[in-house]
This record gives sequence, C-alpha cells and structure tokens, in this order.
Amino acid sequence: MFYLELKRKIDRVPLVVWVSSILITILIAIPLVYLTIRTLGAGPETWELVFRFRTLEIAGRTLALVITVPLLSLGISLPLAWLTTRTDLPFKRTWSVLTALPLVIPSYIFAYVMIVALSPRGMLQQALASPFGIEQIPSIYGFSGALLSVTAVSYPYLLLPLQASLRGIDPSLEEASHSLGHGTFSTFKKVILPQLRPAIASGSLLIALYSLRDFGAVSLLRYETFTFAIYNQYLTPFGGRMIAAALSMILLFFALSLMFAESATRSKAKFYGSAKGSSRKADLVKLGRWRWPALAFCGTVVILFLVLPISVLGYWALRGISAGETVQVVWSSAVNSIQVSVMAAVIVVLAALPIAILTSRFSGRLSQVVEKFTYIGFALPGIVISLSIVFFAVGTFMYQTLGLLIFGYLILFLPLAVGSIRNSLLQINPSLEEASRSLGRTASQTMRSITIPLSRNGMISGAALVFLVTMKELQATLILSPRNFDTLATSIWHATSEAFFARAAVPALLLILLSSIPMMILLIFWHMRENYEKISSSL
Amino acid sequence: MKRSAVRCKNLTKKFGRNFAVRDVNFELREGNILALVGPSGCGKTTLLRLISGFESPNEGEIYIGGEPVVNSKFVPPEKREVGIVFQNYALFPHLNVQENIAYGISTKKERRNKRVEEMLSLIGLEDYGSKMPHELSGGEQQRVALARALAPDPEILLLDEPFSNLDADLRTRIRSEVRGILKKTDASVIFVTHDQDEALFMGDGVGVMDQGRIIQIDSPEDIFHFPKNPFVANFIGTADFIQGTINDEDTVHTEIGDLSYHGNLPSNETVEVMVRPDFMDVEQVENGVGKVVDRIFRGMHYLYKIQLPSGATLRTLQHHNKKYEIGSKVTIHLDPEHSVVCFQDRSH
Repeated sequence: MFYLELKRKIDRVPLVVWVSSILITILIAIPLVYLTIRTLGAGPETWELVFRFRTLEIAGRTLALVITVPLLSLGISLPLAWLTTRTDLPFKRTWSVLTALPLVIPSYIFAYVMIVALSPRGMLQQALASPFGIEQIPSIYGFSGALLSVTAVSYPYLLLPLQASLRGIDPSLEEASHSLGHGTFSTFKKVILPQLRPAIASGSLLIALYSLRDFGAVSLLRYETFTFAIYNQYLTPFGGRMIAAALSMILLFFALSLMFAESATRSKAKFYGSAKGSSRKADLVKLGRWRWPALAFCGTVVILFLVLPISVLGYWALRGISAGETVQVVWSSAVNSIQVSVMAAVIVVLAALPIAILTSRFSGRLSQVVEKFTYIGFALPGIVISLSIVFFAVGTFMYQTLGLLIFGYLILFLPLAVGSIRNSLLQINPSLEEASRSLGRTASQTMRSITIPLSRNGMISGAALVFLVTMKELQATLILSPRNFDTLATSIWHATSEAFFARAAVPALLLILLSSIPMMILLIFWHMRENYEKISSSL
Repeated sequence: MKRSAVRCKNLTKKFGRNFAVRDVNFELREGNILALVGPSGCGKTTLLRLISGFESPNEGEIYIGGEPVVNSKFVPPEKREVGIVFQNYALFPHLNVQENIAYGISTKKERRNKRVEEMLSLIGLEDYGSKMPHELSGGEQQRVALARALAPDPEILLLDEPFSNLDADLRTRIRSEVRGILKKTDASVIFVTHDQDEALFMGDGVGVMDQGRIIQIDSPEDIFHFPKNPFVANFIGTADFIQGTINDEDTVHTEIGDLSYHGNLPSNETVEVMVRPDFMDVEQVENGVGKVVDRIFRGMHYLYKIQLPSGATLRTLQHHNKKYEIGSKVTIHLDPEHSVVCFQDRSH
C-alpha cells in the first residue's frame, strides 16, 4: 500500500535532511553544469562539425536499439511473468530465479561471449566447418548482435515488475471476467493486460534508457551509437571533446524525452492503482498439454541467456588456464572490484537516505526539485558523467583518486538507491510518525527512532543493488579509475578489446559469481516483501 | 466544577476555498468523553488534527488544560500532551508491545517499566509485553494502541474511528471494554465516529457535526429526544416528518390527529413534526387514515412504511405478531403523553 498522497505540510524539514539533500543535489548537478558550459562555449564551427559529423546516422542507430530492445524484452518477459505467477507450470520458483539471473551479466560479457561463439571464425562456425564445410555464418556484428546482447542482460527490468504486478492483481477481477463469459485469453487481454500498463511503461523506460546508455556491448560489436561515438571523440585530440559534449547534449535530450513520455503514460495509468486487500490467492491456470511448449520456452530463455554464456566462459577459462594464463592478476582486480563496490554501496545509500526521506515525507518545491535532479544518473551514460567529472577535477588533488571514482558511481547510481529506500518509506503509514510526535518526540527524534529503522529493508536492498551495478560498471571505471587500478570489469574490457578472449574468461566468470550474491539478497528481499504484504493485508 | 481539558474558540480551518472546520466552539471538562459524530467529510477528523497539532487553524484558539496552544505561538504536537489512538492503530511494527507502550514515557527506567506493567494489566494483556504487533489480533492491537496513548498520562485523549477496523460482533464487545478502561483512568476523551450507536454508547456528551460546524452538543438522551434541527434528527436515530400547524393548547394539528407539543413555536405556525418509528401504534381498520406500502421483516419486529393521504410516509416498528398485508388500511395512535418535536417548515 502506498501513502504518497498523505504527505504532510505542517512539519519543517529537519535541518540535517535539508542541508545534506541540497549539498548532494548540487554535487550531482555537475554533469549538467559541464554540458551547459561546453554548449555555451562551443562556437559555430563546433556545431557545423556536429552537423557534418555522422550525427544523424548515430541517432538513427541509437533510436533503432532504443525501440527494439524494449519490444523484444516485452516479448520475452510477458509470457515468462505470466507463466511463473499465474499458471501451474512445474518448478515455477526455480524458473523465476533463473530467468531473473541474467541481470548479473554485464552487456560487454554477453557481447564477448557472442563474439567468441558466433563470429565469422567463432566456435559455431568452426564446429560447423569440418562436418558440413560451412565457411560463413551471418555476422553478429552490428545491429542484430547489439539487440540480442542488450536485451539478454536487461529484459529482467521488465520481468520483475511484471511478476510483482501480476501477483498483486485482485483475483476477484479475473473471476468476475470469467463469470461474465470470457475465457482465459480474453480475460488476459481485457482485464489483466490493462492493469499491467504501469509496470510495462516503467520497465520499458528502464530498458530503453539502458539501451541508450549501454557502452560495452555496442562498442565490442562495433555498432556505433551515441555512447560509443562520444567515447571515440573523447579519445580524439583537437576538438574531439567539444563534439563529445555536443553529442552528449543530444543524448540527454533523447533521455529526457523518454522519461517525459513515460511520466505521461503514468498519469493516465493512475486509474489502475493496485487493488488492496487481495490477500486471497488467484486460482492457477491449468496448462494441460500446453505445459510442454511453456517449459520449452522457459528452457530456451534460460539456456540462451544464462547456461550458454556461462558454458562458453567456462570453456575459454579452461582453455586459457591450460595455455598458461596467470590467475594472479585476476585476484587483485577482484579485490579492487569488491572494494569499490562496497564503498559505493555504503556511500550511495547514505547519500540516498536524506533525499528519500525528503522526497517521500515532505512536499514543497525543494522536495520536487531534488527529486528531479536525482534522475540525472538515469538520463546520462557513465561516459558523459565521467567526462564532466574529469573536466572539473583535472589538475586538482582529486584527479585519479578512488574518491573521484566513487563520486562518479554516486551520480550514476543514486536514483537506484533513492528509489529502493523511497519504496520502503512509502509503505510506512504516516500515522506511525504522527503517533510518535503525539507521544512527545520531535520531528528529528521521530526520524531517528521510527522512520530510519523502518526503512532498513529499503537501505539493504538499495545497497545490494548498488553493489551489483558497481561490479558491472565499465565506462566510469575506465575513465575515472586511478592509474593502474584494474577492476574485474576493466580487465575483461582490456582483454576483449584486444581479442585476448582466454584472458577475459576467468575474470568474467568471477564477476558473474560475485554479482550473484547481491542478486540473491535482492530476490530474497523482494520475496519477503510480498509475504509481508500478505501478512499485513490479512490483519 | 471540573477543570477544562480542552477548549476550542471560533476555530476555523480551510483547505483551499473549502471549510473543513467552521467556527467551532466547545469545551470539554476533565474526565468526560465527548463523542463527535457526523457523516464522512463533515470535518471531525480535521478537528482532531487541529487539536493534536498536525494541522494549524486559519482562525480561532485552542486551549489544552487551560493553556493556549495556537493563539500566539504554535505549540508542536510533541509538546501538547495529547494522546491519539489512530484508526489503523499505528503500532510501531519494529518495536514489541512493551517498547510501544514505553515509547512516550519520559521518566527513569524503573518507573517506566512499572508504568508499562500498570498499563498492560489495565488492558488485560499482562503476558503480551514481548510480542510483536503483527502477532496480535485486531482487538489486542487496539488495546495496546490505547495503552500506549494513555501511558504518558495525556491531558486529552483523541480516538479517531477506533473501532472501524473491527468485525461487527467484536466491535460491540471491544467498545464496552474501551469505555471501561477510559472511565477507570478518568481520561478526558474526544472520540470521533460516523456510527450513531457508537456515539450514543461511548459519549458522556454527543456532538453532531455537519459541513465543518458542530450543530449540537448535548447528552446522548437529549440529542436523541430533542434534536435541534432535522439534520440531527435524521442522523441520530430514524425520523420521518409530517406537516402540522401549532394549536393554542400545547398541541400540534396533523393529518394523524392532534399531538402533544411543549415547545415555544408560536400558534398557527406551519411546522414539520418529527415522528420516530417507535412512537406509535398502528391497527388495521376498514377506513384507516394510512395505507401500508412496504413491510420489512426484522426478526423481533416488522418495519412498516405507511403512506398518509398527503402523500407523506412514516416508518413504524411493530411487534412481530402484528402482520399486515401491503395495501391494508391502518389507523395510527400516538401516545398522548409523548410530546413531539417540531421544526419550522423548511419549505417556507
């Protein structure tokens, strides 16, 4: 249940919350300041260059990905979500965990796996060459490869909210539809699907933004989108950074349009607010003979997006080790990865706490402005955020320090942590805080003894989420890391971009393994929250 | 005379251009229970929030225990010594029963523990101290919420629809328990409900609110028998109205005969006469004045709807052995000793 509409105006925002929110907002606004400075400073010759540059081509490619990835993800997620929540599919729980797991695989690892397995001289071609004499298979470089890898690692962003919404739908609605003469399919189309609209809209937005920001997969598969072009321009001397900034501006415009479109559908979707008191479980649809195609579908998804990548990695890891690759280097980058991810998780959650409290507990202009600014990390790719941080830090003592890297992660991942803490705060009925006030505690005492302890679950899942995405993060880590500071992500990147595939396999496997730990925590928490809601709604 | 627990003077609260509370004046003396009743949206919850300090009024004054809390400077909720029992109880889910009750007590540890034990035995949950809120039934949560609000010994206790989350049969039992606890602690209480039965049962005094105003505050008996206007008459109990004219000799003339009237409306005035379903007897006769148009079986009684020649209808409760068919003619007798209540005719 959500209590957003009960925000109270009478309380003054506690000073700590106020000051820290403003400070953090100013800090995370740095990329916008940078882009403004660059754009204002750009002379007409830069703009001419931008227009002469292959900008339109890049925009077209980016847009193609931004449109097709959410669509393909929906095609995968909708049947999966329905099968794992509303039917008598065997081993439902296992399927739900396995189909969510590709979230831990970074896009560049999936792209790398595709290259070694499917490229013109890759494993598949060689396997087919000797028995069948097949010399050529369709190229996976370019659009199709990018589409497949970005979809593979981002479709769970749609799957998870769809599963949650499907579980939350009041079963009596379906029963009403059946009693009025509609069958399973017609009921799904007319009753269930409309209620999934908010989840589809917000999940698709996340995936569209992910496609817009992705860098690893598109650059390995040589599909030049904005992020890849910006990176190349950044590396180009003489005016390259000007063009990089101009391209970033265009990308920001794309991202803001997407977010605007989503919020427009959301305001319409308000009608469908999740039904309350649906403590009863819905009857499961009996699949009957359809069980087999359903199992085949789930199996294909899991094999394609989880089993195959891991097997290919395992094969190359063994090949690498037997060829004498040293594992020594991998350990130090693993330690580095864990170190920065833990630091990022702690710092981002601490920074997110006052912002989450401000934006969920207090209305007013400050709260609205801060809320908008936290989305910067969703709107801009790591590459743009890193460039702007470098612009301000270069020449200062901060340049090439761990602190600067963590700061980059803060801007990038703040919205994730704020979102997860806000969700848990919105589950707290404001009457709890009023009860505390009426029992003699001040606003800030109430925050310490009631609000913060009750948002603990949100903080833990926020920290797990930030740990997970920091482990995978590539662009900011490449640009902001201290010299000679290698993480698992950067060592995989260096190895694959130089085509040392065997060298990339061990760190890739380790990265997936380490990222699975926070993912498990997240899955357990999401599962627990559902149970908690069941308990509280039956009271 | 007892000390004043809470007093509101010309209290007004607007949300935008709408009045939520409009020119409210009342005083509650220590140890009394005031039940505020009214339809949803009448402003009763806003009035509670004004007293507890979660809203600030546009105009007017509030005194708690004789001290002003809004006139010159705004006293925040935590300094008002107002206890609240919320509709959803608002027990802190991360604290056990003991910790919930102890939350508002600011004394030293030993005295605090003693107070918690007192409160637990007051609500009859001595062994529940270490349970968590979600392990309790609705009625138990209710009592813990009450104990928590009473523990710091507040000047005034506010209860906001505290029984609305309970099942109907549980509700009647719990409300008498709660009333017992409140009377035992001699608490001063404002109790808000939309249920007239609950208001009549709980209140030493009953206040009826409508559109932000308190229309009438009186004892439960007086508010039932002598409502100030047709709204109160309708809201507390069931009432029908028939037209009449005041006669000279303490009676009012109506189409069902002359009825006893001891009010002070002038003679010849056209009035609306309030008739409650339990006032009258009906008998089936060949050419009676009324016609039965509806009959509802209520177990012990039949509720009849009777149409009069003017077209007005009256509802009446008759013992279950008086069964008349729909369409039959009946005469209507009112107890001549029973004085009726008349209002000036609204249509004039």
